[in-house]
Amino acid sequence: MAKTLLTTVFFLCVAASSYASPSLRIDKPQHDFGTVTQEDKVEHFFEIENAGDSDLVIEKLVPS
Amino acid sequence: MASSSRLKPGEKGKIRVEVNIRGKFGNIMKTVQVHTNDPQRPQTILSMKMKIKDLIHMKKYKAAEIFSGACKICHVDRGRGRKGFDLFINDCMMCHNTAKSASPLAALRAKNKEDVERAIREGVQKTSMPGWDARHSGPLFEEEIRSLIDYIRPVSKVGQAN
Ligand code: HEC
Ligand code: HEC
Repeated sequence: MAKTLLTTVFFLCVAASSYASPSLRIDKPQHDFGTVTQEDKVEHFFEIENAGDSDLVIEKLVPS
Repeated sequence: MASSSRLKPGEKGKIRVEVNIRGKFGNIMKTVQVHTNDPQRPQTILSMKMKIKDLIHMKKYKAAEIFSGACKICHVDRGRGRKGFDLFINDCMMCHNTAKSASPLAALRAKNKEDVERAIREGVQKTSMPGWDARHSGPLFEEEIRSLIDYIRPVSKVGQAN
């Protein structure tokens, strides 16, 4: 039983890596604004990169 | 929002996030979930934190300045005529609380009594803690100081008479 499971997992991995896929890379996903004064808004640009080998689509951004 | 919602392999881009902080105060944490077609990680979390201060508090001050001028309206007057717990809430808790600038009550209670007493009377050098005792030019008199010590009175050393 354990053996079959391992084999299945192994095949799944091989299958996944043989297709081209996008890969989102964000080196700094956390940002500290430090101390800010009371103003209306603050703004930050997160640098992103597609480290994969097919097009990366940003489907949506959900703030909390 | 992202500069472009589609990136070619190897392409770089930016996600612009704007945080509305109007009327907010203190420590703030914000997150944004990024949903993509990346099969390994369909969702990634971006997070931002900041500490928002009003203009008065952006400057550096000497500790005892909270006792004078416009500062004392918030830092001293609210506790006037109060004692113990009531005094602590009004004059101390704005600094001594979780996620604020100084140790929360539980941490003060874990200190030994002499240090607590000395800190309240004389202040703590090189910090924003001023000496509150009238004999050290503070706004509090003996009875008020005692009420604070009794309220904070370290409880960790139960059974030790002092
Ligand atoms: C409108 C009320 C108000 C006034 C006026 C005021 N304060 Fe404060 N102060 C606060 C509050 C509330 C906090 C707690 C801030 C927090 O939530 O972190 C605080 C925190 C502080 C702190 C500790 C945290 C920090 O920002 O370093 C210092 C030091 C301080 N005040 C100094 C002053 C001085 C000096 C003045 C006068 C020039 C002053 N305050 C005037 C309300 C006030
Ligand atoms: C403007 C901010 C501020 C206010 C208001 C303030 N404190 Fe402090 N207090 C500090 C800071 C900063 C320290 C030193 C660092 C620490 O203990 O967090 C400190 C230290 C202390 C200590 C010593 C803790 C130790 O580490 O030994 C005691 C006790 C204390 N404060 C009690 C009080 C009491 C009681 C009041 C109200 C009458 C008060 N504080 C008001 C900022 C403040």
